[in-house]
Amino acid sequence: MTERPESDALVLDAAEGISAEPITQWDLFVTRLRRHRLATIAFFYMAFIAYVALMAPLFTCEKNDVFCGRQPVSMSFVTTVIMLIIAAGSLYLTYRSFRSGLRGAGVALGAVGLVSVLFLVSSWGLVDIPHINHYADQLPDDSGRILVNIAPRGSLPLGTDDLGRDVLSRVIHGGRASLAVGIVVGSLVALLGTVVGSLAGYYPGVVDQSLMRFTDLMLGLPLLPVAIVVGRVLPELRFLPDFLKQGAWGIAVLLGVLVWGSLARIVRAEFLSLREKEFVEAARAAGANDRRIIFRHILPNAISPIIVQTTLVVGTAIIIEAALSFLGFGVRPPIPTWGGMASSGAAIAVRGFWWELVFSAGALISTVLAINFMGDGLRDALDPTQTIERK
Amino acid sequence: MFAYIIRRLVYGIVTLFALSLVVFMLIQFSGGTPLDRLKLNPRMQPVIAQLTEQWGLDKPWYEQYFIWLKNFVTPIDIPAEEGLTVYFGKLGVRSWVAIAAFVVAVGYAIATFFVKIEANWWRTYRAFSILVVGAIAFWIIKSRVVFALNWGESFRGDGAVWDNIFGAAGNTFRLGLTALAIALIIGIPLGVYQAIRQYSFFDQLGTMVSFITFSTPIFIIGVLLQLILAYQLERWTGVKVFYVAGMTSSGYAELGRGIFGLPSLAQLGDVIQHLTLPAVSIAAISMAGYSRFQRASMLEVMHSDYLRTAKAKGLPRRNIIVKHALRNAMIPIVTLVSLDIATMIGGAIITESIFGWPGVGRLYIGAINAVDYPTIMAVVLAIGAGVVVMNIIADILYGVLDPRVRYD
Amino acid sequence: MNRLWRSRKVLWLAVLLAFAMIVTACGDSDEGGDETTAAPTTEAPEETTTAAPTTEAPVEETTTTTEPEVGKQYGGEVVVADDQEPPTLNSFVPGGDNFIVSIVGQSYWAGVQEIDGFTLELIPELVTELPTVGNGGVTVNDDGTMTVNYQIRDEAIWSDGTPISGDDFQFTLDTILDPDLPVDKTTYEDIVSTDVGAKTFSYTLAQPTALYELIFGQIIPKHDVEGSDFTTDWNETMWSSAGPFVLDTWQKGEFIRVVRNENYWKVDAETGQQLPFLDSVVFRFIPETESIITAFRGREVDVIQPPPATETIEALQALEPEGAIVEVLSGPVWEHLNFQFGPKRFDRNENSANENLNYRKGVAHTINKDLIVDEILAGQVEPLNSFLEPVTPTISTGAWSQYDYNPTKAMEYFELAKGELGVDELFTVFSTTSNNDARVKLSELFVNMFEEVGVTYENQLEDSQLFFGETLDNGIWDLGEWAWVGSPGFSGAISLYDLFDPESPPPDGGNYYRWGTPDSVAIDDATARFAEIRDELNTSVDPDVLIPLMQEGEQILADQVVIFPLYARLVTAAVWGDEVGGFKHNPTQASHTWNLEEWYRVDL
Repeated sequence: MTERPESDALVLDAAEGISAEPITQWDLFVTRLRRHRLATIAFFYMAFIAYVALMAPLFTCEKNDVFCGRQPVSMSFVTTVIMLIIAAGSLYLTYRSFRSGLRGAGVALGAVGLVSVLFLVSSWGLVDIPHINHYADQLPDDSGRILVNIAPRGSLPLGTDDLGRDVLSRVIHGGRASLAVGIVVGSLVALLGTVVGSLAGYYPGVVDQSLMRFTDLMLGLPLLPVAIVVGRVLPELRFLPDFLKQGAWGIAVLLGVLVWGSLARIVRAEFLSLREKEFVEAARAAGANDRRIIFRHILPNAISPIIVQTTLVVGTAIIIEAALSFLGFGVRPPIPTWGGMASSGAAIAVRGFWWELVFSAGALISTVLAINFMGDGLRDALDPTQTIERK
Repeated sequence: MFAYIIRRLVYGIVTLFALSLVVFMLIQFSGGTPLDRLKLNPRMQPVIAQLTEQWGLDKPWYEQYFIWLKNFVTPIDIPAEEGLTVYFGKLGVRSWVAIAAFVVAVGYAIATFFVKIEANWWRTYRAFSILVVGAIAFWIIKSRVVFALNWGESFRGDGAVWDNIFGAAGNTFRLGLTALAIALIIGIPLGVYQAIRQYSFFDQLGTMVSFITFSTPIFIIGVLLQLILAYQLERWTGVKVFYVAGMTSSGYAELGRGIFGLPSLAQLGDVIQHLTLPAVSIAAISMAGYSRFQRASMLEVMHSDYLRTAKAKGLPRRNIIVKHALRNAMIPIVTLVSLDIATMIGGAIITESIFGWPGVGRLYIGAINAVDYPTIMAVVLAIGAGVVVMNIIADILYGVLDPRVRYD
Repeated sequence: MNRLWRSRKVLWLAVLLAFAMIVTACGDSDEGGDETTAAPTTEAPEETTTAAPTTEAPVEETTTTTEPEVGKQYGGEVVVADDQEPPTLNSFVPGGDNFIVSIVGQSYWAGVQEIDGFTLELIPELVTELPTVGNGGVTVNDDGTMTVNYQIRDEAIWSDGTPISGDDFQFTLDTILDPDLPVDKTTYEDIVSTDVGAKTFSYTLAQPTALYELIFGQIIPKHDVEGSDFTTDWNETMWSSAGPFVLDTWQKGEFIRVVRNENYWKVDAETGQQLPFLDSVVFRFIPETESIITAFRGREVDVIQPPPATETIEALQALEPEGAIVEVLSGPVWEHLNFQFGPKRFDRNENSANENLNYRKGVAHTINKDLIVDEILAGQVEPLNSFLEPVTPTISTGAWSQYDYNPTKAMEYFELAKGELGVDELFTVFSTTSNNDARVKLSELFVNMFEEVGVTYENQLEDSQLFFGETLDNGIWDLGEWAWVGSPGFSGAISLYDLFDPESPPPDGGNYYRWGTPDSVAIDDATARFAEIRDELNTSVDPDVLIPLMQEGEQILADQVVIFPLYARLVTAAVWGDEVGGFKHNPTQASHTWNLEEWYRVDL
């Protein structure tokens, strides 16, 4: 665990080895990231969580139904198979990139594939199963009763909750809410924060002033109280489409819209300093237009703080979603979420039925922890000016 | 600098205005009304109609908003007989002491700004006196002695919103300040020690624990503390160490009074038994943040040139750390703490509902469930104002503590 | 250097001092206006430290001090916990209808009648006997009006010593009828004339109605309240008490403490001892159910009335060997399945077959009520056979007992229905709130029951905000499930019939089922007859007329399967029996504190 200080020269040597290939930024990144063991573990843990949530219908089975849930089998089956293929493909590509420093198209494809699959999953998962009987695992014994509060055992590795539902199934399905929030908030924050920040940073004067005042306004909002109000009224807002009213989607969009401010500030600061750099001057002198300068010259140089900050915001957003669900203003029961399960688990844990609380809380903490480690690792790996020993 | 503060205040007010508008519209468009509770009983139809008119719920939303806004900024006339005269008549020793302290503190705070002493500690002291004066001023306001705004009557029938909020705010501050104290007293030395012993086992462990705490939602910490330290501990030891709910026991008044109307030792003990768990659950996350931050800023200072110079000069290590490194490394944390106070109030919403703490957060959750929008609006805006003010204070403090900072 | 160090110490000292000051300044100060004192009048209330009451019962007092085992012990305090805090102590202002207000209110309210916790019948409180046609207290006049006479108890006085008089009744009536006061004025507004005496009060209603039974449940003291601002002055303080206790302190957010009313007029029926026994009662507010149970387990609180989740009941029953007494009763809230007859039901289920009687009968035979009660109420009570059973079991004939759980019979009915409707398959969509664990569980149980009889069944649960809002208002459901609250007496039973009145569709009426309403598919002889019955019920006070009418109405609803009663929600209360005596849980709105005056400490 103890990591000794190590100079960049050493890292470069390690990456270069004896091969004749030139060292790219990506190689450097991968090497640095792999040096950060926790971050690497966190990466694979997140991949695992995403994979499990993705495959939830396969893991959670119910009587009378091969593929779980009482929705038409064909739909569930086809979707699952397609997703399985895409997910496996993108996971493989990501893995290859890590192994061999495969660059360009492959990496992009892997990343885009993974993200889009996760998108698909979260939308499909959360819009399609608003009702309990799609995934509830009733365990009718001979008497036809529901078996509640069963301690973990062979056939039920995580036990059942106070309504007789399989905790394992619900922990897996609950991951979808967190994942949806993570993905939507991540994309929205990255998008809004980057757009606002780069516009403000590149165009001084009125644009900068007005955008930054707006950013200040967003940052001045008290996050949790506002989120609670919106979470409370969300199911009743008449002008919203149905899929935003139920499930994690609405909450995810809400959080995404609320928390991009800090990233916008960072991007703006980054743009302000890069705008004056010689290579931008050179590009301008060469006749490049604004769009080209922004997208080709400045943005790629500002990408690391964007990635790092987005990762950290995602961790916060997942916690806030869980807190909202815990308080009853987030995703409404019976749709499972880790926060909601912690809430009902706490009620029965007083009587010694600890498993629902422990497993849902454990899943939540480990996921956020993994994201934070990833952010930490990414920060170290993406920042070439930082020596690797500083964490 | 004054121009800067004024400008920030104006932005702050615009933010609050936008916030109020958005929240008001959300509540209006949600279709839920405070009278939904009565709706299912057909006999209550006349009552609903009457209350709808009385509360102005039948007006268009923008009209309702302007009525609300106008009231919100209008002070209530406090009749002379309800104001200071009567209040002073009821005062006990403790209040006199506090009011005397207030007068002294205000005078002192004003005085400090005219006295120029070129030393860091003086700047720190000046900054703290602002905070203290602010806190005491808050306490006076909450007693509704001098000033109150017409924040309306709660739709739940529990009286004036102004009184409810400032009554509850005192409790929230008791919780928040204790949590802050815990976080600072443990977090900062922890961070310093980690920085001094970088890469030691303790440092690694501290980092790990910080990371885990930081990634744990506050409600899980709260629930676990309740389960383990309150419930299980009592079951194992048979002694009630911590309480799971409330601020004091019901027999609190019978525990006896100390001198000068101050709480007796038994009462203090009772308060601590109630306060510890919620305060620790809030403090845990801040503590992790502070120790990480303090470690980083300490490391940065320790790697700076002037420290290397000090080392080269052969100054004793203890001296270097305390006098040169620590003092400079403390500057950024002041800003962090100021910003964190606002976040803590948000965190308190969750903690208060878990531990049954009668603060602003619990008031807010109750109001939300009842669509009691005078209270919802007032709480959101009070917290929003807190965020704005703490942001400004953070900026000012930063400038006061670090002469290199200039306001533009 | 030295100077600096000294100053630094001063600085830290100052900071610490400032912090200590802030923390003490926060929170509720005891001198300030945060606390509410009991008496709104100018005289300070006398310190009440005596353990036993003063003058009224000197004999009993000596008895108790010499032979404690004969009577019940005086003195001591009981802590009652609840998850809510009353927003106000005035039950006539918005927020005053909150249940917790009446829980606390039992300590100082008094009215014409109260609900006996043992028999669930109305018993007289401030009056010598409840007026009925039988005892001559109620007379139906020749002009079609009805007069009700109250004889106020001679000994009844307010806590400040003023006798309770007819003027107080008149004042209560005037207060309620004040057009600016937003309260339910039903029945009161039908009073055409009154007659006030020192210890009598009578009033005349425009037409005979059984609803007179439940009015004047709380009398307002004229001498206290007159001249004050009724809607604002009494939110945080109690008016003169006619009950066993008076307000001592209200620590906002924490507890309300009431202390003995030295002038309480009532004596114990068994021992003749002056009431109340306790010196004080504390109502403590703990928002989370888990925390309440933890506090009860730790004997921090003596009496609790938690939401009756199965887990809670089991957790409490586990404490019975240690001395806890857990009372689990069937309450006044009855859950029922129901069919939507309005046109909007097709929005939920375009194949809805609700108009078909055989389909509805089939559904009635599909439901296994015993299993539901076993699962949801842990088998603690019997399922319902009528909506009248929870609070007026004597009137009910149990009309729904004709529908036993019988899948074979159900399938026969469904076959008939299919034939009549000309369809091959029946579809049912079930809607209720998703926030309530019991209902979620119910929906799960239905899945298997409907599967067994071959009906295509789907659960569409909704957030309660949505369900009790848009869904209920517009009748957008096919098969629905929710609950109503009953109240005792004829008046309580009659008001339940209003819920099915074809002449009162929502929003002004309670017929959310739209059974027989103008836009309904179900308009037939049954609905017409039911409307007649309902009208007759509201113009009579004679039990010999009322009971047969109610039973006929009940039978119509059962035969037509308009609704299908499932079970009454449990109410539960727990008390440390080795500490507190005299406790009896009352499942009605009278709450578990209904006989607060008779509680006493066992452990003194």
